[in-house]
Amino acid sequence: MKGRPTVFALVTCGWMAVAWSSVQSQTQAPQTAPGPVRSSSPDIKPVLDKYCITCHSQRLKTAGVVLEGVDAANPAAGAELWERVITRLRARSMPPAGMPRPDEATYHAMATSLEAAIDRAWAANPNPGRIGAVHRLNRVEYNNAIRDLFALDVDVTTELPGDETADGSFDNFADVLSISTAHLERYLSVGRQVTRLAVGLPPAVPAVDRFEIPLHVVQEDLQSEDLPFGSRGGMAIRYDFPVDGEYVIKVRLRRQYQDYVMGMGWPQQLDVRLDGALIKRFTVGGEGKGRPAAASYAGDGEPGFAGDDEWEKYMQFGADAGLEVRIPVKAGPRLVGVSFVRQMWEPEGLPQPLQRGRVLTNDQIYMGYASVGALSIAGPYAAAGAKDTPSRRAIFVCEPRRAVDERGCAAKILTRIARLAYRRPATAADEQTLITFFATGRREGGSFDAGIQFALERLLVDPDFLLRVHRDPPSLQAGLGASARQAQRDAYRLSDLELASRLSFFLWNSIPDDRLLAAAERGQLSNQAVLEQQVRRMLADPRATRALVDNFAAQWLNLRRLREVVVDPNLYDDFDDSLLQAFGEETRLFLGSTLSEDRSVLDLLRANYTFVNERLARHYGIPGIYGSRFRRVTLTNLDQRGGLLGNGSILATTSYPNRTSPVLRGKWLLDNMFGTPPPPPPPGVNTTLEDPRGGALPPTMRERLAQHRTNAVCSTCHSAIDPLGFALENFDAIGGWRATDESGKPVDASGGLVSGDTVRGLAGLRALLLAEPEQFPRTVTAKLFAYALGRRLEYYDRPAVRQIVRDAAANDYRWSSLVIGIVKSPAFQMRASQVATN
Amino acid sequence: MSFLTAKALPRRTILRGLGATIALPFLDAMLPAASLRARAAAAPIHRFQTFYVPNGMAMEYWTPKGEGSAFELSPILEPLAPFRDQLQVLSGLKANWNYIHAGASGSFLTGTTRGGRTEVEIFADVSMDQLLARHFASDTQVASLELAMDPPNNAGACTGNLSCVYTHTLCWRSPTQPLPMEYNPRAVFEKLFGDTGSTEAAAREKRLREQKSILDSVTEKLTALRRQLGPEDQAKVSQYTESVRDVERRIAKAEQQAGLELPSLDQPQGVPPVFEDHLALMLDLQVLALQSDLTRVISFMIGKEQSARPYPQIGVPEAHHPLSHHSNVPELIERMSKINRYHVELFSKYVARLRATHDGDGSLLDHMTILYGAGISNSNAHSGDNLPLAVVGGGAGKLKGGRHLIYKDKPPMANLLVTLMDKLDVPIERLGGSTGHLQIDTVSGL
Repeated sequence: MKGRPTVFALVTCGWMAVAWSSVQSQTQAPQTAPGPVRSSSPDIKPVLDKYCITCHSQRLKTAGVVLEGVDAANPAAGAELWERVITRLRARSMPPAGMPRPDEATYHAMATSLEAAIDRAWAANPNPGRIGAVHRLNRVEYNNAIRDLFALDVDVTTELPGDETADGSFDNFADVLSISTAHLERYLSVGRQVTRLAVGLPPAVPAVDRFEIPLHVVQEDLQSEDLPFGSRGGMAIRYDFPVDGEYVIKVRLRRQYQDYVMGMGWPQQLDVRLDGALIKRFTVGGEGKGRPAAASYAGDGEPGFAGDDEWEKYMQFGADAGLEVRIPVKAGPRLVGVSFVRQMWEPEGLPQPLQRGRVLTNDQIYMGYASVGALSIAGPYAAAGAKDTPSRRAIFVCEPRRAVDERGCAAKILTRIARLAYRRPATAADEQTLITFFATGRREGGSFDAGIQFALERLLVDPDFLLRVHRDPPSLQAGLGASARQAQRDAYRLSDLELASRLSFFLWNSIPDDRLLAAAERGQLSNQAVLEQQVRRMLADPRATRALVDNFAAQWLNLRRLREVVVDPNLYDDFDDSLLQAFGEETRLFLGSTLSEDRSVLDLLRANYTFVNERLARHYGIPGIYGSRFRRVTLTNLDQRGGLLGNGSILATTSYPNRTSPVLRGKWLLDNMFGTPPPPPPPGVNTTLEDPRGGALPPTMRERLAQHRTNAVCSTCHSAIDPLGFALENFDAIGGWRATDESGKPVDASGGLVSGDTVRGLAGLRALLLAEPEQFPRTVTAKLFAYALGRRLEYYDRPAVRQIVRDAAANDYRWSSLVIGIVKSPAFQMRASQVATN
Repeated sequence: MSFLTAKALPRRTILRGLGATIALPFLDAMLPAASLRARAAAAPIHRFQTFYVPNGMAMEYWTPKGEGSAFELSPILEPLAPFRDQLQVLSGLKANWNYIHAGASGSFLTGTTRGGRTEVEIFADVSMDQLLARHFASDTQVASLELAMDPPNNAGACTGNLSCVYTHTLCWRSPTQPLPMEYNPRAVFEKLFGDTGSTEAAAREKRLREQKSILDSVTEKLTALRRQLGPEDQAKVSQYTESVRDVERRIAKAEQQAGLELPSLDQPQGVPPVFEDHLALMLDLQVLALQSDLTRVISFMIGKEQSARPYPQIGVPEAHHPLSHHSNVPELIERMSKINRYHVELFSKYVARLRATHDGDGSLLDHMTILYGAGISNSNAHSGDNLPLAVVGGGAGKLKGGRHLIYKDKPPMANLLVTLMDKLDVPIERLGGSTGHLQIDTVSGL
């Protein structure tokens, strides 16, 4: 066996060269075959016999896997088993640590040879899988559909029940999205509210909408791009005023632990703006009379620890009692801004720990900055109708001048919207139903607009809107003669309309636009060139960047956990919500830049730039950045920052409130970067670490996790997980760089891999991920593929992933090449028949 | 008022628009009213409410002097004098889980003996009101109401190192599922009366009609859709159809009640800034909900644990929670007792309304079992011994009022909960860490 692997590797490289050079990606079924036929079975079986059968024998059946006596000559026939083998080979996770292992070249050669054999068979007869027949729109998709149908920028996701996610998957998986009574009730209620808002009917009673700023957001600087320069703190809200009328805007200031308004020891000016114009400027603060309360809550209960009554009343209610304006506003989306005029305090120069905890303490009551706590918008009062809003313009493509024109105009409006909402040409039955509801609404509501509203309310609850349905073609269902059935036995092509929906929900999380729908109606999407053109057009639309960043990437990288991050204020007294928000914004902008610039996905790891504002730059130790605006910076030390792995968001969401966790980080890396997720811990394992005893310096993280190395049951998995996490130990629990850890010793950011190599630090981790150029793109593709298909990937999808990545190599694995590869793959355009699945 | 009308719902009303292949469950509404009334006479309608006060109690001013029926109302309990004959004060019960503030609200209705161990571990037990809600769900439009006066503002660790969740709610649907308590009267209104904006009957009936017509039309489409799918794929559509039927059933119930003349109330716009106004609205809604039998289980917190609310209107402008840490200084205890008495005053006004509201063969109060109290006794020490508890109401004939019961053997509070479940005709074996039943019918003095 000694000389063989080298020869074998050369031969394999030859295959790969042939495969890459003959890439053509024009048709659905890939034309590139992965190289000439060369039987590899004599090479695989000896390796199995030598290294694998000791445990995976027919007698022992370790982990349910039997490799003794399998037919290694024809891997394609047992693809399900061999895919599992391939995963272990690629991850180098088998044989386990302590058992004899083949050398690097053998690993590579075996994996490649198996992949080649399976991929060849797949190319001849790809299995596209079968997505569930009924696929409900999730919350985000529903919200975006409303936005696109009615040009209405409202957030209804909070009004709808949460979407279920199966573990580690996405919230757009067909089989998991259920339809319950709660859903239906909410759809009925939301449909009514949204259509009334869109059409411009006044609400039944005035409402108060309240917007809060989280307690720990620091308001010492320009808070948002929507507020003017020279302002400090506050908030800017894009609010959709339902109808022309009068509205009351009321501001509540931030209070601390004992319900005192903060910062009332000196006068400050508070501005209220509408669409940038100053409505009113208030003076707040500096009017507390009498003796103040004790400066800090000592809890000794001495009578008189409260201030004089007058002072107490001012500090608890009086200070912000009159902060409201009542103004006439025209219907439509407008910007409401509340902020202080910028008057800065010179820092004392004395280092003082910022008092933070679950509440803001008593010390911060007087001479600090006042902050905005919440903004309420109440109304409409004295409501008139809504004449001209973006949503009315979107809906009312005609206006009936006389009563006789009403029906015709209604039909025009409603069938136009039905086509977009149902994602197919409107039928006579659609028109019939909607006109019936229009007539009822017209009669009961007394106006043309009321009729349109009621019909739209009906439309938003229609199954054709809420569900994406995949119907088997009639010929498959009916049962045909043998020959016709043979042709359609395995799979059938999705219709153009189904494909259009799939495409728009993939790239935009929303309904197809008119252009895409028109192309589908004309049957043009079966032309692969036209299809590619549409994909590129859609990717260039900013909706794609938003959807792929906020929905795909946020779930892939588990970034939605960011808002749940809690940090021990005793250890990280400099932490606040402004930093947390900055983490989220950095990652969002970074991911977005790679998409909008169509960069290689490898840039996610190796990029030498990121986005920071002053707060984040201070945290990262990047000098010379001032102001709250985010801007791109070039990073000079890629050993300390650079790429996703140096993002504070990811480092914070993979830590505990008071310490780092190499295990959480290692698992995150294996799940989301390497694509080789570890199995869950065995049941009954206590995973809480003992807290270090007070007094002496605590042990290092490595020492505390010693059991993972010494205990054989633990080390099977942890030998793969922990080293990766150790490589990131220079980053503390909130992503800051540190040279010494809580034990007082210099950080040892090295991890001993199962292969015997060592990975060191961020740079080492990055290099490890990039060592095999196809590895990371495969991980990204697999995740993106599942998201695009709306189902879990199965073993028979893995060849498709490999094919897509192979084809994308010529384009340096740019996002667009992965997306186009996915769209062109059989699983996206076809569906296995019920017969084939059975 | 009786929710039973002589009009039984014709089966045809629901079947309109539906294929005959789907079998309908037999709804109570289809029983002629007479038989329902007969059933009602045999099994009285119970209503259960919790009225929770936070931050412990000035026990020196709470505990009545004397025992049994010859007891003297204490300064804090004095406002309940008119209802003495439907009042039982219980002394000596112990909190099941005594841990600063989390245990107080966390075990009050659950009887759990422990919560989570860390800030991220959320764990208690099913609460008593939810067990009742499951039982009553088929009879009322809303299974239960969970209401509070404070928004759930905090996140992270609130008390000790445990999650704020324990102080935000009394109600747990399962050991790991705390239920949010609604503090916005607008949202409560919409939950009870829909989104028409008022309790006005015509508006509500119109809205119900609209919803029914939408659902009928949708059902036709669903039937057609189902036919186009193979048997294996029909499951999802069946889910959809099930939900449609469920909503239609609720609409049918709502229609029965829509014809009732209810006191006119517009949908509140939001949360009133003044405590009294806010409280008045929330209590109005509760009386309405009980009066119209929209629900029979209400859990209400007049303040959440660690509430820092000041009460300048009664001359106590200090924040409640800091004041509750009075270090046993007599003047400060007396000051805090004013807050406790104020809560009882507000509660007794509410009880008076319940007594004045007609309900079948008596008043609402006659059919109610109200649990008033706190999960902490001595606030300064967060003590869980000798909790301040009172049971108010007629309990549909099952409760004997006018007594002060003292339990010398310190039974856990969960035993009281189990006993109350018995009284409510929904017996259970065990709740949380209960060790048995509590004797509340024959204790010394009777």
